Amino acid sequence: MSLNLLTSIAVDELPPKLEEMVTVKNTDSIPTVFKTLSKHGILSVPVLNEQNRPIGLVDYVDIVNCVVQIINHTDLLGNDYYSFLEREDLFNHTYASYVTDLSQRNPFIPVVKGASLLEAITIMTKNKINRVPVIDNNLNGDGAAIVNLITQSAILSYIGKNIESLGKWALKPIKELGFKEKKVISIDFNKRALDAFELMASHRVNGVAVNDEKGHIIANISARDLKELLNETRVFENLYLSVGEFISKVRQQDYKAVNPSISCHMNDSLASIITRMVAAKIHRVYIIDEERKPIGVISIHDILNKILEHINNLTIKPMQ
Amino acid sequence: MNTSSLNLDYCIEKLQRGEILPENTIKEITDKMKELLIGESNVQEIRSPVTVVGDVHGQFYDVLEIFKIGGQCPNTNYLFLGDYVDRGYHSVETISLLTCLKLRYPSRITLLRGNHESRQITQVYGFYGECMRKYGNPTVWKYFTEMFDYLSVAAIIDDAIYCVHGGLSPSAPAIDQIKVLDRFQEVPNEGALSDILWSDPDPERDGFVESQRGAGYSYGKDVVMRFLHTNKMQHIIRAHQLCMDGYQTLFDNRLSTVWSAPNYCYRCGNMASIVEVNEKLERYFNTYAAAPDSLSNKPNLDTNKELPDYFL
Repeated sequence: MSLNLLTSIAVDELPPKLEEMVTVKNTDSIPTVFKTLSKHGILSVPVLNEQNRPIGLVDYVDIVNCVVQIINHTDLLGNDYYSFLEREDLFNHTYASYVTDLSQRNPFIPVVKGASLLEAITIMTKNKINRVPVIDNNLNGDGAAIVNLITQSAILSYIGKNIESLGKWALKPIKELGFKEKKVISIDFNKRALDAFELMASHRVNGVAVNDEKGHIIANISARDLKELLNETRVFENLYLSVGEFISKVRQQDYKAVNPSISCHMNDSLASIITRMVAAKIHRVYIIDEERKPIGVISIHDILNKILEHINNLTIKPMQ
Repeated sequence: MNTSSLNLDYCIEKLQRGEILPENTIKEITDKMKELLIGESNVQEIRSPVTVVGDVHGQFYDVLEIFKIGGQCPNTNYLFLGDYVDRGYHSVETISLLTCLKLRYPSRITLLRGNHESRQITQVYGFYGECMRKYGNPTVWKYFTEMFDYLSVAAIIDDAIYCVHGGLSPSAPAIDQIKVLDRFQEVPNEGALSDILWSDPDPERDGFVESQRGAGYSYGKDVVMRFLHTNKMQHIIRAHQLCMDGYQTLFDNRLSTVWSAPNYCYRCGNMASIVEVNEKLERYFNTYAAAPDSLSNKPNLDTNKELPDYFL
C-alpha cells in the first residue's frame, strides 16, 4: 500500500501547485533574495543566469553560511556599531551567484516532469537534499525550465494526509522501527545566537536544540529563524544576542503561541509523529527522555529514509 | 490566619503605582499562594455574578483598566482564565498584583492556569527575560513558575458554564476526569492537562484534529455539543485565541472566546473584552480599547544602548 501511495502520484501533481515559479537572478543581492523568500513564505529559490537557465538553488542554510563566513572574516573589526555597518555592507553586496549552494548541501539535482514521487524521494534521500526541482524539457524548444520545486515538507504533508496507507507498521513505537538515540547537537540558551548558527554551519545541520543550563530542551533554532531578523536593518547586531533572547524575539513575531520545542518519546508511533510534524509545519522533532533532555532527533529526511527502507523490505519479503 | 509581616494592602497599593515588589516579598506571596491553592480543586465551583477575563499577557495598564471598567475587586467577583505573563512589558507587575489580590480576597477572585503559566513557554515568550531585566537573576521567575504548578485548571459557574483556558481534550470527555488529574506539575507536552490549556475550537472541522500549535487539538462543533450534553453544561467560556473584536461566539452561541489584551503586543490594533455573567447566567461582553497609559509606559528594550541615534 505504501508503494502505491508513492508511485501513483507524479511530482508535478503534488500540492501545493504553483501558478508561477518563483526565481531570482544570479545578480540579485542577498537582501533581494531574502526579500523574495520572505515575501512568498518559502525557504529556497532557484537561481537563474542571464539566459534564464537555472544554475542552482539558494536557501536559508546558504544564507546562514554566508553570514557566518562574513563574521569570521571580519572578526578583527570588533563589536562596535561601525563594525556592524561594515558587515551589513558586505552582506548587501554579496550576490545570489556567490551564495548558491554555499553550504554545499543544496545541490541542484532535478527530476523530470512526470516522474513519480517515489523517484523524487529516492533522489532526496540518496543525495541528502531537502528539495528537488522539477524540470520540463519540452517548453518551446528553449531548453529545460523549472516548473516546480518539490520539498520534503510537501511530501511529508501528502503522506500525512494519507497516513493510513502506511499501514500498521507506522503505528509501532519508533524504537521498534529502528530509530535510535543519538547525540543531539545542542546549545545553551545563554550562548550567542551567532554561536548557534556557527554550530549549524560547522556540523552541517539545519537546526540545533536550545537547552537551559541543566540540559532540558527549551526550543529549536534553525536556519529559517534568521529570516525574521533579516527584515530589520540590524541583522548582525541581533546575532550577538543570547540564543534565548534571539529565539524570544523570533517567536514573538507571531501572534499565535506555538509550542517552542515540539518533542516526542521512544514509545510514540511514527504515524503520530508524522501527523504532529505536518500539523505544526516543522522539519524535525526531538526525542526526549522523562527529564525533557534531548536524546535523539528525527528529521523529515530520517522519516522518508525509513519509509523507503520499509518499502524495499516489503518488496523483498512480500509476506511480512 | 497568621498575617506575619506581609501587608497585602501595601503591596497592592505599591503595585498599582507601577512599582515592583522586592524579591523576598515575592517569595512570601508565592509561598502563601501555594498554600492557598492546594486547597482548591482542579475544577473550581463559583457562583454568579462574576466577570470573566481572558488573556492579559503582561499588559499591566490594561489590567488596571479592566478593574476600572468592570469594578474593583472585591466589589466585583472575577474569574481570570490564565495567560497573565509573556509578550507584554509588565508581566511581573501583572502576576504580582493578581497574586496579591487573590491572597487578599480569596473568595472574590479565581485564577486559572493558561498555557503560558509554564517554565518552558515563559523562557521563550518573554516572562523569563523580563524577570532577569527587573531583578538581575532568575529567582523571581522560579518562584512564580513554581506557583503556576498549583493553579486550578477549570471553573464552573452555577453548575452551568464551564470555563477553561483553551478547551477540550480527547483524553477527558468528562469533567470528572479533569477533577482527578494531577495538576501539580509543569504543563506536559501531551495529555489532558496539556490539551485543555492549548486546544482551540474549529468551526470548519468536526472531531479532534492535531493542532497547528504543536500542542493540544482543534475541536469541532460535534465535540462541543457532546461535551455539553455529557456534562450537563449550558455553555463554555474560554480564552487563548486573539479576537479582533475582543470576543467571539461559536456553535449557536454555545461557546465563547474572551480576549482581554487590547492592541495585543502593542501593535495588533484589536479590541478586548471581559464577560459579565449575571445571576440569570446572561453574558454581556464589555469591550474596550487599549488604555492610554499602556503605550506611554513602554520601556526602552534596546540591548545595545551605545547606538548613536542620529544614524537611525
